[in-house]
Amino acid sequence: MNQESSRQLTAPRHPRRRNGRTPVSPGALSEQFRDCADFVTRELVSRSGVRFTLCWLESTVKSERLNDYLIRPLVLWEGTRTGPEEVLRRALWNLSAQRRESVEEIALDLTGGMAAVLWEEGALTCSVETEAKRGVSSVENEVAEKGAKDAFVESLQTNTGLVRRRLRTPWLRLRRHLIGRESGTAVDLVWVEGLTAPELVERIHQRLEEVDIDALLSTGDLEGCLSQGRRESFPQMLFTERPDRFCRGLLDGRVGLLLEGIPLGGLLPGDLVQFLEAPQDREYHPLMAGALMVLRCACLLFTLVLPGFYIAVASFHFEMLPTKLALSIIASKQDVPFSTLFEVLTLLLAFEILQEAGLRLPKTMGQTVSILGGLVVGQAAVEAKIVSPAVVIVVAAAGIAGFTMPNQDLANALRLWRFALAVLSGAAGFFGLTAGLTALVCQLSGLERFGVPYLSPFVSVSGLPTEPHAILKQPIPALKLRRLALRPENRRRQR
Amino acid sequence: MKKGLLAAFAAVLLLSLTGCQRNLLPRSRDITTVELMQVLALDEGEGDRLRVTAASAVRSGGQSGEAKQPVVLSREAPTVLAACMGMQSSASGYASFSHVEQVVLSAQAAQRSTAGLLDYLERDPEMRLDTQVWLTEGQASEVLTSVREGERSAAELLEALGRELELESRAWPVSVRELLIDLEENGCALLPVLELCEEEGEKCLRCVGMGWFQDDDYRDTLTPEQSRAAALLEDKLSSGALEVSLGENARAGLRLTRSRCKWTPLWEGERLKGLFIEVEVRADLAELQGAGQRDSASEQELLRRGLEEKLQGELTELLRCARQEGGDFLHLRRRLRVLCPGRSRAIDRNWADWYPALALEVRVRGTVERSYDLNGGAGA
Repeated sequence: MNQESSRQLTAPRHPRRRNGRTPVSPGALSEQFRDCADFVTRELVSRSGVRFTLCWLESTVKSERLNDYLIRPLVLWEGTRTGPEEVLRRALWNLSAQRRESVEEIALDLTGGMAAVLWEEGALTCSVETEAKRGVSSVENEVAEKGAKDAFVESLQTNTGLVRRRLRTPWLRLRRHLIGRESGTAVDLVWVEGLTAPELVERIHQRLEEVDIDALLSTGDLEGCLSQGRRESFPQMLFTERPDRFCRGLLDGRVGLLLEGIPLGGLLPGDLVQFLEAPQDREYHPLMAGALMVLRCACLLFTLVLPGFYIAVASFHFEMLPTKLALSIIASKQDVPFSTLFEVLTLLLAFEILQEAGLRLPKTMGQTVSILGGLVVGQAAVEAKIVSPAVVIVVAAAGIAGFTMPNQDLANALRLWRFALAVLSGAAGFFGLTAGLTALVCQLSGLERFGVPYLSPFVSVSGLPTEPHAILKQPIPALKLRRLALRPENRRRQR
Repeated sequence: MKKGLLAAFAAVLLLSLTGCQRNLLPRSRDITTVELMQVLALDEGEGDRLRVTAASAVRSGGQSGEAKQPVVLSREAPTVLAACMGMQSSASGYASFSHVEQVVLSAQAAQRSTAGLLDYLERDPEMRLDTQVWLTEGQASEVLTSVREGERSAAELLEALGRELELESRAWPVSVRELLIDLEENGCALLPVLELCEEEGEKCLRCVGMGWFQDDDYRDTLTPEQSRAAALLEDKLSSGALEVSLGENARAGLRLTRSRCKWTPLWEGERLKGLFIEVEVRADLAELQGAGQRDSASEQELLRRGLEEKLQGELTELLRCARQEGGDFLHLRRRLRVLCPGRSRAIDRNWADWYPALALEVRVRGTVERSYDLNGGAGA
């Protein structure tokens, strides 16, 4: 197998930098890495008198590998034929080495932890990268009681290993892209050949090829590039730190993305039901998993609608309230000088401020914020008759319902829409609330990623029937087919 | 750009459908600025006018702790709607009638046209058809104003009274819906009658039984025994107490637990000759005084016969009274139309002829279950 072609990657094009093919020479390479304190060169002479120049970036290589796999064999080499093939096959002891013919290619390899060997007749780069990276650690945010505890790390190679360990099929494919003009971040497109729809793979591949960004340093950068700047608040791509969940997504017919430097795996295309599923669902009995799913759906509606519902009934439609409840609300709002809409919006804002403050503060101080926030907002504001207890209960209940969302991106989108629906309710009561919900449903219905509707399987895809059991789970033996919406090449999971 | 324009157009179109002609957006009223009226009292006013009195509940003081007395508003106007709208100027906030759960009619006002009085409750979307209706022989507004100064408001007292009715056998609650259906059918209805009384210096409300309404005329209040019999026939009896004499200074207190009526029409060809009513009643022995040395079997038999005879007498008397007055306030025609749907047209056509000559026979079958007896144990 031609190892070279399988590993050949082109650097992302940069409009202001050199994109050409500068001939290789030590001087040109030194010029490329001018003012780089970690750029090192070393002259070597083999036993047969061939002069080699070794170049590397100190911060990216492991010195023992450099010594053992490059310097030693080159110095001891007695070959007289100095063509690149000869040197590649006989003089070096590395696992991977490839020929290079331009300074740009060599520069890209040096930044990736390779060392360059230059001599009169050619140039090679060899992998001697350092292993100074974080080891596989346990899951932090998606903890499952009975599931695996390992999580993705920043190293793409390690992440790939975690995936391969779970999917030992030889049909697992990884296609690498370098994205980011300055960062050159490696992004692996992962799919299972013969299972994932080839059209889906090609579309995502094309989209990745079209991405032009200066640096890909976070998941938001990638998601933003893939969504082409559209302004939907709902997440389009599921990111998970669990390799098992990532592999399950691949087996559903989705395409995975692994990024260098990001300890998460992305799955495309995303749909709403995917964001409502928790990693533990597979571990529970299907009845329990279904009940929890129903609970989450109810909490989704609750967190969206409750503040707006309260504003609507307290300001426009108090006939709907049972008499005792209406009297209780009136009693609780006695002497509060603000309108219901103002109270709710203020408390929602206070809730968001508390959440943000809790995230930014160090853990040791986070508890203080919770206590202060609870006491100040919950107790003192009520006693000072700035807000009524009923509103505190409503906003707190809506907030807690939002915490049941397994995906933080989805929860964030709901937080935004909650505000919008509250304002609409304040303007036009139930009519405004309904108009807002209608707008939300219309927006979600119109969302589609790579041919898959966001609301699948609740909507029909190109005339294909809708599928049941999205919320209420089936037992494992009954899961015989993959979902239609993803159009997998092979729908059959099991007999 | 196109989608944004489309969204803006849709928003304008939706807003214009709010139904508000002058104002584009509906008008909001904070709930704290609203007075929730819970009781309406309808009296006859001067000339053709009506006097409408409305009262709210005792409002809890909330965080300040001081409870507020109920608000009572009164207005005279040609219609109930005009009176309710006129009250808005007297109220400190917006007087909302959407939580009116009790309506008290005075007999004089009801004589105009009960259905007409309640038309506002029937048609207005704010009002409720499940509002309970009460009748009073005096001024209905007195019911609201007299109990105003107590710890509980008229609304709470009436609500408690309505709940108590279900525990007794002499009356049952009637809603506006039920009343209008009865009046629509034959102009007859039974309504619980209120009386204002005084107990230990305090004004209180009491239900004296079911009042009989016919053709917008309040005829009479049924006696407690007649009311109980009517409750039996209407299947409204869920509980109640009955005393049975066992002779020799012995008496028993029975708690009625269940009753069921079975109606059998008697046809002679195409003509309805009579109606046979079989009433099954279950009762528990709750109290026994002066029973003496009697074995349980004979005692049980005495109790059963006493129960049957007493109820039989009450039912017979009620049916005789109903026939004598000529009004079908027991709505036998409605019952017959349900029992014989194929002959409902014939019943409607000939009812005026058939009803006066209808042979009404009632038979009571009672069962008395003994309660726990220290000597014999449970169910002895």
